Amino acid sequence: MKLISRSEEFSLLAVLYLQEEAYGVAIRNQLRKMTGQSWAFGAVFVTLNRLEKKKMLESELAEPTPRRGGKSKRIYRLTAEGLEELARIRRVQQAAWKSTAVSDPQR
Amino acid sequence: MSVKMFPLRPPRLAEWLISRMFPDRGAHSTQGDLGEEFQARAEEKGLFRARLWYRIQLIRAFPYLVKDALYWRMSMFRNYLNVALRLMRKQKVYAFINVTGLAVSMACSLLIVLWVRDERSFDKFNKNLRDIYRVTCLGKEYRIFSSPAPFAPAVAAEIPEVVGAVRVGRNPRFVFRRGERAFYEDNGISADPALFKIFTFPVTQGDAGTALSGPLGIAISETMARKYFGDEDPLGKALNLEGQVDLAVGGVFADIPRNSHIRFDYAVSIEFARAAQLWGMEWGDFNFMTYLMTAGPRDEAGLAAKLNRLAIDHNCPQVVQKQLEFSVQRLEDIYLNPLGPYDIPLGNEKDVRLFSLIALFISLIAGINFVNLATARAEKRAKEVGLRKVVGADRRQLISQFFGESSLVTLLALVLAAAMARAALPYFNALTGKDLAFRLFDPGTLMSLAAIAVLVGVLAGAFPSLYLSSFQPAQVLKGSTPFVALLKGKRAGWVRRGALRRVLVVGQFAVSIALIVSTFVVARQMAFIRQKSWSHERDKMLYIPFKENLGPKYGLVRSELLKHPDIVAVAAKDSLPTVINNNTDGVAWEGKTADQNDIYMETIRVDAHYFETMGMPIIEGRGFSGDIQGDAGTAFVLNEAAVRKTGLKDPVGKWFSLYGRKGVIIGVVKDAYFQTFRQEVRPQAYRLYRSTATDISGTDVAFIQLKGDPAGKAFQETVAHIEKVWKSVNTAAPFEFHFLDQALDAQYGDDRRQGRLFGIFAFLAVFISCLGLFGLASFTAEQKTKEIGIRKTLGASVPDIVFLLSGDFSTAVLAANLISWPLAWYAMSGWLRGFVYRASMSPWIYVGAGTAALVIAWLTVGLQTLKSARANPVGALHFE
Repeated sequence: MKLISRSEEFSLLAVLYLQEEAYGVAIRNQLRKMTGQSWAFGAVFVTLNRLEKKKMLESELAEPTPRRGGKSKRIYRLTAEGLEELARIRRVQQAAWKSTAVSDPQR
Repeated sequence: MSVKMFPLRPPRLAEWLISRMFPDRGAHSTQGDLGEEFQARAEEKGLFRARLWYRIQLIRAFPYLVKDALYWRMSMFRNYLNVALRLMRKQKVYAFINVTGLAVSMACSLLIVLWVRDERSFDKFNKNLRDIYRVTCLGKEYRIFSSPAPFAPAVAAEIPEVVGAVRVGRNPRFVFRRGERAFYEDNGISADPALFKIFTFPVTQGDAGTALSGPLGIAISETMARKYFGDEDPLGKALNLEGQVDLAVGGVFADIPRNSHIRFDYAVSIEFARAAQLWGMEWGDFNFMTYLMTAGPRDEAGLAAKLNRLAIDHNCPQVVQKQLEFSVQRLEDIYLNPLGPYDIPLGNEKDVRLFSLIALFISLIAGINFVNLATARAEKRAKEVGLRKVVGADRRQLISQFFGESSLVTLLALVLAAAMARAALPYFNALTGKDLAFRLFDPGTLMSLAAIAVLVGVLAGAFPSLYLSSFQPAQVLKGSTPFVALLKGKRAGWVRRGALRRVLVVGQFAVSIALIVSTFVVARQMAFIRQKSWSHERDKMLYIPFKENLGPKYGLVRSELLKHPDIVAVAAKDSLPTVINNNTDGVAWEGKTADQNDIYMETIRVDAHYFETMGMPIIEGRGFSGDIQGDAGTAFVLNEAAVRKTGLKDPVGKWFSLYGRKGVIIGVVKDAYFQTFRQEVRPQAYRLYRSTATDISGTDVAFIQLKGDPAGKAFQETVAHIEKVWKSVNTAAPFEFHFLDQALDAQYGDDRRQGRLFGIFAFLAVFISCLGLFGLASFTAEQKTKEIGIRKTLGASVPDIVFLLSGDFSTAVLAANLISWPLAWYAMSGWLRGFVYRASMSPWIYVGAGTAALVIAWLTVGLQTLKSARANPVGALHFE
């Protein structure tokens, strides 16, 4: 099966880390912390939608808050498939790193 | 709760767009996420920067959305493309027919669209387009486009909303000389200086306007400047006209655009025309075209009313006597609506419509092929459709798949069509007499291409894709063959049974046959015209214009010419017989009644040898004679048409007068058909030149009848003799001669072109139809392979099988005849009505066209059917 993309991988990780707090703004902040880059909102939404379509994420709506103009948060959660996919990509990456002779990529 | 949700509000439009881009099943959580961040930023950095940020977020989202959309499409698309390409490779004939048919029809349409766009572009380059009118006159019988000389200045002075008025007269052919360079110039006008202000004709050097204010100024085009002056600066230099006067070049203008209805290479002033006495300049002489430029809103009716009031105030006789009434025509309407056969514009609204219609028909035929072959092949794909549906494809996906396939074919055809159109353009230009250019990346071309592709591709693709996607998977997959399953299908019904296909084939052939009939009718009319036109030794008749001293020394020239053994006869007339030199109502005759006041007659001056030379028999009385005193000045010869119009009984010996001067009718000449067959032979009154030195009209010509064939050595030698005679009297004017034959034929240039175009389009229509037919025939043969095998083993002969296979098509072509005959009859009798003298539409034309179509269809189908009919039945029964 095709591997998931980097942005998908990071989004899954961010959702996993945030647990009950995994909604748009928080995920975006988490992505920034993880990658050191600012992510466009559009990029975050698109990736989350796609992961949901691929059934690696599922989501539900939380209560609306006035600070958000009366709009609900959509809270994301990893599915079993999502977890499995993360484990798979980790295995693939470790295998890939091991097989190269480079010990320290910084240099 | 009317509390404001946001103390600080994000940009409304951006917010709305976000909710459209990420619909989020109505929950607006995306909007909320962005709103939350926005709120934080607004508090920290201020509202302005926060709103800016919000908008930037919106814009940055676009690329991700596009990528996402592509991400999902790509995987399916690759599969579709694979299937489509595999199909095309597997069914080469089918793909070839579709692509070629579509490409040919698209190339045709593209060329026609280019042509139509060009026809419609005339005069649109004028900046004052919406304010310019041409003055026209409505008569009882016809509309004319000329007005008297004093009219334009009066209008400009007296009608306030007219801000400019210009008179334009078309000059006769003049010879210009500059040093050694001498040329005839056909394309000149006399005009007012306002010409260059009203029309957008850019002046590149000097001032063309002032060049036209004195009698001896001239404005010339850049091309003409190069022709006479080379690299010299032409301004202020002299151009000699007819060896008589020097005109000073006052201005040079850019060559008049090809798509201007009025085109000229040089312009001289109205004062020049007055001094040279080119035309009558009184209120009763309708010799100029008048263009007006107005200010303010358009009000044609009001303007026309004012023009008529003004004409009555100035005692314009034709308007006072209510023979004519002034009217106006918008500049943008002039080109496509010429007033009569002698108007300058050459366009024709009818042709534009006709050829647009043909383009549509040809596209239709190609589209029909597409639909027919797609539906015929449908059952081959029924299993694929069934399977796709079973694994979860919904109808929308299938439709888009089949649409994609037809788009692919259309796209291939489009590329081919652009190449074809480009290759065919020079021939098309030669045929239409246009100078179209094909620039692929011109926005107009691209737009037309896109429009044609969408029209043909989408319309032709729509039906098969809707039809194919409607199959019921259970039935398709359950049946032993897809064929049986389809027969059980609910929707398949009439499409499957081939009824639709037959109807469409009938439609194709109906169009093709109608085009063949049209081609035949035009060809017959052209043959009829050639046969009935004046034809006395027509290809042996030369003519030379009365240039310089030819007129004054005509007697000498004539006797010198006749000394040559190959010159049989020489005669003179005041203009070519194809042209009307003078048309007047200033005629009277014995017993003229009041209701004959609006009879116009062509008055013609000839010499005493004209009738004999042209082979025009005198049927009553006698022709002119140079020996009889009094023939010059008082004797008239009428043609039959004039006798009919006047109602004279025994005309010979009755009196006849022209402009009040009385004479006597000495004879009647048989009608001769020199002029266009679109109009009745005009009543004509001939009179003798009193003197070829003074009675000159400027367009006079001498006719020279040769003995031998106008080819080969003898002819060269005769022409050399004519040239010698010419040079013995002329020093300034370069020698020239023409064939009368060509002048006659030139009148039908447009009609002949139209006939040829009809022919080509008919050929293409038949070709594309036959392509489709061939495809269907090979398909039917393939489908019936087993049936043929069984029939043959049971004893059917080859002819039996051929009949079985081609019977269907024959019926379709015969049925097409029934539809196309009345349509073609209706259309072509309309075209023929444009001619006063016309060939009959013999029923054989129809039968011939029908038979031709049938034979072509048989030949197309025949080869295929014969092949299947002769095949060994053993092979056929093995076939699966």
